[in-house]
Amino acid sequence: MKTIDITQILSSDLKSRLRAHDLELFIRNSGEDTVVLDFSHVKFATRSFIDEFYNLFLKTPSVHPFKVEITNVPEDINTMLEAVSQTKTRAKTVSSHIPEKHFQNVDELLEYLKTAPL
Amino acid sequence: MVINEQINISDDRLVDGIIPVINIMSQVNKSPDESIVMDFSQTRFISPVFALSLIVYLSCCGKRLTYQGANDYLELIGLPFGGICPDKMRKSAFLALMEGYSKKTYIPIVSFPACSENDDKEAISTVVENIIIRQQNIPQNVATGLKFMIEETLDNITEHSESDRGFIFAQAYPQKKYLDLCIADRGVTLLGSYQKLPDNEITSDLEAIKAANRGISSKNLPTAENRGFGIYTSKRMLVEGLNGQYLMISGNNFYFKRQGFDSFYGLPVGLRWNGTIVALRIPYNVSKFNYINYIE
Repeated sequence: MKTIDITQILSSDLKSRLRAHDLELFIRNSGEDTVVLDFSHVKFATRSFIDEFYNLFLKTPSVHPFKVEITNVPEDINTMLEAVSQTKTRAKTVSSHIPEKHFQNVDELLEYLKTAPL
Repeated sequence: MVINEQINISDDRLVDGIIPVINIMSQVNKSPDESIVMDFSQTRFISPVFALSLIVYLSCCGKRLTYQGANDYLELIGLPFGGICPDKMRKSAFLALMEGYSKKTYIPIVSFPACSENDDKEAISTVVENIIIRQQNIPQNVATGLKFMIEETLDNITEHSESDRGFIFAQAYPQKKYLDLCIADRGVTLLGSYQKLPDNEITSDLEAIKAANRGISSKNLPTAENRGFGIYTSKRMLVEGLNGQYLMISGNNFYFKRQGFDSFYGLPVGLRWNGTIVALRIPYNVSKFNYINYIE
């Protein structure tokens, strides 16, 4: 088992889905059976990164020959992990009542844009 | 053809920035000329929405373009030539250049490589975000939300747009305690990105912008990433959390949302942006805001 500071491999700002794949390759190449990813120095993460991270490492059943655990996860990152885990099984909220307006010509569009309460 | 619009955009409304662009688009569409001269000599004050929606339109309009008459401010923000390209300079040179804006109320237009394999985008966005936050001393709670909104929008460009480059531009209004931020690409549009999906059911720009903004349902992808949460979450943070405004333009439609109002709009035939433009009006002095409350 090996503990890795995730910010040493990626960054203290965890951005983009592709970075999660870089991390996967790193862990695979390490040859370790179990890796503990330490989040204590993470300052920021996008939902996209967390979503991909969840897909690659935490969703069961795992498709990897290695196991990943996480530790020292900041509260906001933990909230994000919980959110992405729940959206896998929950339908997205849809707002079906939003009005739409179509313009036949440029003059009509410009008149609207200049006067509408936008 | 010479285009010489009188352009002096106030910040009263976020959407005001697209009005002169629509005028320009209409003139270009009607003209049989293959060459366009954009004369900025009557341009005084612009907004991020104006700048990036113009850049996206002109870069895809199929005409030969030249520029003239730009004042010092327009040259400083890089409008005539499409912004500064950090990937074409040393990282330290970009950092030094951006430091020169640390005491201003705006950043220059930054044109970044949108290819997913390019590492530069993250470093570029970090520098841009830090300068914006420092310029107005944006409190930490809003700063994290700002970074979230910027990064989710940039992710969409990288993952879905197939654009060669993206653009970011911001202008703050310290008296009013908000900043206008615009991020754009000249890629395949929302419709184009949906059309790449297997079992796609979305066939128009209107359906695409509605799907991206949860106006109609689109399929969850059970074995891949869930699309659309970045836009939805960013919008909720901005409009519900910060009382801000959200404008999205893609193809021949646009969408606007603020508290108490939202609507989709279909443009007249012939008016079209070959790309996607997202503009945010972000109030930054909101003490009770916590971005994590809007994550789902």
